[in-house]
Amino acid sequence: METLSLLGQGFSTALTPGNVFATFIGCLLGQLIGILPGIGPAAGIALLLPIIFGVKATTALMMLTGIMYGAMYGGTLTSVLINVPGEAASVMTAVDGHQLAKHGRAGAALSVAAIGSFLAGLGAVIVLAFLCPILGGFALKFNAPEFFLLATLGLTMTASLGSGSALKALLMAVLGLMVALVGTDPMAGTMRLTFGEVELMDGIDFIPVAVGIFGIGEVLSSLEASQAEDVKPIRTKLKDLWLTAQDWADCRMAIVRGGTIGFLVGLMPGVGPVVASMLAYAIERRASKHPERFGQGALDAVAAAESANNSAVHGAMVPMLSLGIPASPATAVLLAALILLGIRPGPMLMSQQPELVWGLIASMMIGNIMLIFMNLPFAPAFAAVLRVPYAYLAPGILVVSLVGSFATTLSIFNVGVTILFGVIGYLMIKFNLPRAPIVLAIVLAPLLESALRQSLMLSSGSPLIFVQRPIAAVLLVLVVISLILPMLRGRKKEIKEADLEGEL
Amino acid sequence: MRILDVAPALFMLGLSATVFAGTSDLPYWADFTPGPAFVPRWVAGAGALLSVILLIQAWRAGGSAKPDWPEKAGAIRVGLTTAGLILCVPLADIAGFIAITFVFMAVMMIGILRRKIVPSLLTAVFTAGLIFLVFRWWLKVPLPAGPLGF
Repeated sequence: METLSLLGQGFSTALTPGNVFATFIGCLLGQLIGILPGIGPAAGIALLLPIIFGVKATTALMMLTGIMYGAMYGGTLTSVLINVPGEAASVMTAVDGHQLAKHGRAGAALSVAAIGSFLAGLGAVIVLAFLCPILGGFALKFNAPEFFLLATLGLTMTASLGSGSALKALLMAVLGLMVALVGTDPMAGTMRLTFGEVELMDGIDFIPVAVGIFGIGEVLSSLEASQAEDVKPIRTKLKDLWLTAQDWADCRMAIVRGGTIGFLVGLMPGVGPVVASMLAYAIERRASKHPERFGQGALDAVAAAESANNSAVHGAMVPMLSLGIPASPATAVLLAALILLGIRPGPMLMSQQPELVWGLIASMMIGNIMLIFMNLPFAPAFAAVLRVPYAYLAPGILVVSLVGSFATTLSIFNVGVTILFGVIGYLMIKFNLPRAPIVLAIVLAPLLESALRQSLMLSSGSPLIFVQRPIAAVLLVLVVISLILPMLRGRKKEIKEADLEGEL
Repeated sequence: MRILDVAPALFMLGLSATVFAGTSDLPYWADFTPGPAFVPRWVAGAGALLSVILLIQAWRAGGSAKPDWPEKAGAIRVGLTTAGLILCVPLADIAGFIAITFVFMAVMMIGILRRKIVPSLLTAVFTAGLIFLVFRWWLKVPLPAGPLGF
């Protein structure tokens, strides 16, 4: 009952004209960012951070969060119409969505994706509203040892549950920690790893790193392909968006399953909507009455993947709001935004800033409603954006990245840092190194270091403090499991390959 | 050996050594609390350990997997764009941030990406104008200005 009352207050905050407008702008920008290849929600939010300095914290966060889930809706358009995922979480949508488009069912694919995203998103926000206070209340029992292990768990889960090499993911998390160590020691106040550079005294700012790695790096990678041929998206009309009764019958359980899987995956730090959509796709293929259609143009495949990615994005807000732990690169940037606005994230956020938290949750419901209206009748209009050749968009993305980096710190040095990390991001793509762990590590590093040092101070240097406290002990076990899991998976794969070779 | 794994491992090994050396003059423990060098050394240790494991894995896996480098034309596009971005940094203070972004975009679209001149110039003008309106006029961000005032 208290939750409903708080949610009601949240709606009264979110429904003010200024906040409604901010939510709308955020959703619109998110939709456009999702459509544009070469820039994802994390980079998009980072680029738009300079705008938040002139507005209230609640309004700013509503807009930035709108970008995050708006991008999930926008990514569908490019996946379906030109077989190029607008952002990574729409990769699975492209598999079946573009096949549907080739068979004249682009409208149905876009429609089921939008409706699935809407229903799953709304469901996720409702669960989030009830889960956050419970988790936040539980987290009030946390002290320094628990926070250290929680931050560590966030990093190790990125490795064990993310796609790709776990070892490389851990290595990139360590790189992120090294970047975060540069600057002034938070406790002793001494210079650390600055090598005499005055500009490094304040450390390496998070925004240039995020913008460089996700924005510039991605654009540089896109420039490898020749830009001579302009993309021709498959045309779709308003009447094509109508779904038949059979379409509904095929997709409704896919939406439920996808939304549930997405939310649960989104809760886990380091995993995110990409893994959520892939997992939902794989599970839906097993559950579907027509698994043979998957890969050839299955509407329920699109429904499951899109429901999962939007639900995951909302699920990722739960650890961010209740624990102050980002679960994805986009929530890491949101957390950085909170810090820039002078708000301290963590379990106390819900009790100290209830207007902000509940206003944000209510705005997410409003934003999803706005997005379904944007996507259903106006999908053909947004699809027109795809006709703008990427060659005209790429330079703009690059210069906005530079200007945005300067604007957040007023330092030309940070513009150089952005370009450096842009090159690093490009090389990371070339060497198959995951980029999300770096960003997560940079955001978690201050919490991780201060909590570790406080813990050891409390225990007079004894590491037993991490096993003597029950919650800390459980978290420690989870950290160990998350480190062992990839090794067991790798070993299982080696045994399977050896058996196959033996059979041959 | 897999270059794809060896190169990052060697890079991180070098970086771990740099972090260790860079904090060697700081105290590891200060009275009753971990000192400024405590976390860096453990992070450097973790980096070195993971790098060695990756090297061993690369050696055992064998093969010669290399990064998917672009073809010559693609490499030139990426290289020139990066060079242009780097040049923007010192030139922004001299010529003005907005002016230099206009020049960068025009050169990139016409010279590097080989698009038509008129649409490229129009796009550059439009984008530079948008940046001026949003950052300079609305947000009052003090972008470095050149002789032309922007």
